[in-house]
Amino acid sequence: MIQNAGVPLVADDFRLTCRSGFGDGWNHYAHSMAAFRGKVYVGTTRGSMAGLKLTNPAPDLKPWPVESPDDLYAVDRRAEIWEYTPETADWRLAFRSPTLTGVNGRAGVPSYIGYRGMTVFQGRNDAAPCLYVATWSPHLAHSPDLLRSEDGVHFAPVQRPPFGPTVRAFRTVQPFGGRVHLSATATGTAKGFNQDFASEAVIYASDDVAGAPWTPANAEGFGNPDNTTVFEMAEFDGHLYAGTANPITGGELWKTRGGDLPYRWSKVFDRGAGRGLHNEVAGTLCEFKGALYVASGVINGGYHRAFRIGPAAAEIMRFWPDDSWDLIMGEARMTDQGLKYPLSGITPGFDNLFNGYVWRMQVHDGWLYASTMSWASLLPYLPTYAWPPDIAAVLRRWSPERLAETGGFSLWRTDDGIHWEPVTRDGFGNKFNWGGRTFASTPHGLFIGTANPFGPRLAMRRDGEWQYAFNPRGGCEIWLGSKQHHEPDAAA
Amino acid sequence: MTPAPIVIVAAPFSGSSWLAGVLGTQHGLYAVPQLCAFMADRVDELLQIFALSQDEHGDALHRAVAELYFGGQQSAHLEEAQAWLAARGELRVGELLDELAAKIAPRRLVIPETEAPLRPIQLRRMRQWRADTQFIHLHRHPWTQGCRFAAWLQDRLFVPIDYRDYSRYPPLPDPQIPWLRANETLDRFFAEVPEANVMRVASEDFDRDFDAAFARLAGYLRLDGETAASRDPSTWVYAARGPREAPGGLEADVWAPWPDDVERLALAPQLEAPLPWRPDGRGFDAAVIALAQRYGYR
Repeated sequence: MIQNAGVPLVADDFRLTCRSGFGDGWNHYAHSMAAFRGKVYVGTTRGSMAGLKLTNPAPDLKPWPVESPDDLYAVDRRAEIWEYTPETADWRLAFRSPTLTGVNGRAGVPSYIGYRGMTVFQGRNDAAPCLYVATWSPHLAHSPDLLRSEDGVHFAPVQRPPFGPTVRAFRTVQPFGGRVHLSATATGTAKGFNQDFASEAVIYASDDVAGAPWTPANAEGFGNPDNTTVFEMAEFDGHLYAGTANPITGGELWKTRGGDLPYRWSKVFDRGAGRGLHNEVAGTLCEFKGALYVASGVINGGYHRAFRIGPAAAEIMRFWPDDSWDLIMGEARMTDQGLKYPLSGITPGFDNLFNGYVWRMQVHDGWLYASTMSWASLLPYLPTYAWPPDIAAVLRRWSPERLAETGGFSLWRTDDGIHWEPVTRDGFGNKFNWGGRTFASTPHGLFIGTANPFGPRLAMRRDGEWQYAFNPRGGCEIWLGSKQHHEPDAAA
Repeated sequence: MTPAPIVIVAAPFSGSSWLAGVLGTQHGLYAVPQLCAFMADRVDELLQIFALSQDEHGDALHRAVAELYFGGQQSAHLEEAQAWLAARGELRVGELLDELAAKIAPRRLVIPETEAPLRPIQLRRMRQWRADTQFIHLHRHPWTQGCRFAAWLQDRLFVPIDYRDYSRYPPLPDPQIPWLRANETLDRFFAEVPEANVMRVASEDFDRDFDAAFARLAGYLRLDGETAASRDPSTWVYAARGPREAPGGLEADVWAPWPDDVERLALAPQLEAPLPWRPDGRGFDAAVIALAQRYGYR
């Protein structure tokens, strides 16, 4: 079942394959996805909105959008991996996090509350390509693991990366030059946690995840102590690229040809490519038609509360092998490489302040798709009365109710990086889908997993009073885009 | 099929409204103000953008519909135009333009556009509408354009993000940004359009010798026997600002006054000097200089 080559997907081409967090509204994020052995695997992160209460500082949301206990561990946060069989259009729970006794003696603590990355690759001692999964462990558990599965049925950790004790998660698992690379992306302590910043900015590399040691591939922060985290990695033009988070001067992008460890790195840009702190993070990387597309922005969805950065919407740039670059979507500015203006004609966030991230980019059938994270759905819970008068005036003009009702993520596509058109601007009609969080391009079509932290019970205003009620559209969703949907084989 | 439309595309403050007015006084043509019609695919989407806009994007389309279908541009006509447009919400914008073109046929529709050149997707929509469109790419020296544009922008409460340099805080309005962005975007767009359908014209050509420049333009547009034109478009039905409900549709370079010293500065163009509107003493970006030189400016 091959799609017509090069035909772009439109909203009507997408079908919902699962809703409400696989039937459990606490599955807030479809956080990772991979095609493996003819199936599609999705790793969830559970209770994200409940956990957000423990960030430091926590967002000023009243009431809290979902009903959740103050004791976060009272929420069943055992993260799940689900398996989709295209021939039957069935989902199966493939793996659920085990539990352990926490470091404070509490029983029933999940080993993993989320799976933030999935990659298929063949390690040195793998007989065939395996599915590798990056995990997120709560702060009462051990350091996060890298899980390995040969068959999509059995998942087990390989040697644990040598993260510091406060590291809680990692995201990218990036093969390059015969090694696999990963970096920490979350920190947790008794004072709270930060899901985007790590306590170290080191890439670890191993050429045999089954036994060889993890070795640092770069100097801490590439020598810049303000680089708090190596946020994302990608391979492009025979180089490993790494984007950093930097809340002092703006994100940076580095690249290396590899070789002996630690690698020699060269800087592609610093200071947020001339945008400064509003490009705090070089956060999403994707190769497309000979260039590396880099999406950048501010953590916490576009407003970094601890450092008071933003609000600002995301940008997209593209980099060529010689380090020259184009601004694709964003703010015009004078840079070290001269005047840059958005070649697409689109301002940050696809012309939408609420699109704080371009969360993921994916090439499918000759098109580049980019999905956003929009915080417009939070408007009913935000203290907008305290916002600056000019912002409040714009908000009144646009109507908070209208904005919230169309508050889902956006999905855009382009065939050349310059001409972009929207596929959806309202989370496929579900305002609670605040992000298009993960993709998988397969012969069956383009899969998109959403982040939807508005379940299972949502704060709703009824008769002027806030009350919690079941939200039937809360919890992550998985959408499949195809020009030729396969009808399930009854005999299968 | 109605006669091939004519679209004047230009960076802001390059004279597109004025040239539309000049062509609008020609017998075989019907020029409208800047419709901004290509901002969306569908009419209902377009009307929604107009409603949310902080600028005057929607005024020209309402004025044109009011004039063509209801006989004037006053409040009552505009109300009727609004209802007329709302009733066509399901149409594609191209279908709406086809309807306008049919209304004025056998005259040819002339549309000035400074919005679409900033956004490639709008140019693509324009191309998808009619493949036989004749384009006029109008440009002006970036210094002249910049001096006038900067003088106008400095009195605006709302300056679009498209015109600002975000390397400074607060972001600095800088006319060279839309100048470069529009002209480079147009050059990329015209690389895909048959040469016979594109004519590049310098506004300064009309300043120097209006009759000769207009004759060349008339030849390109095949305005046989209609080359007697006036550089004064005041008889054009859209030559003035619209009523309070819909004042927009014309670029400010045809109606806004600016001080004599600004005009004196504007009429002494140069490419290498510090820009008078930038407090940091910077001159034009190298890409602006290179493109301006390619257009024949010094």
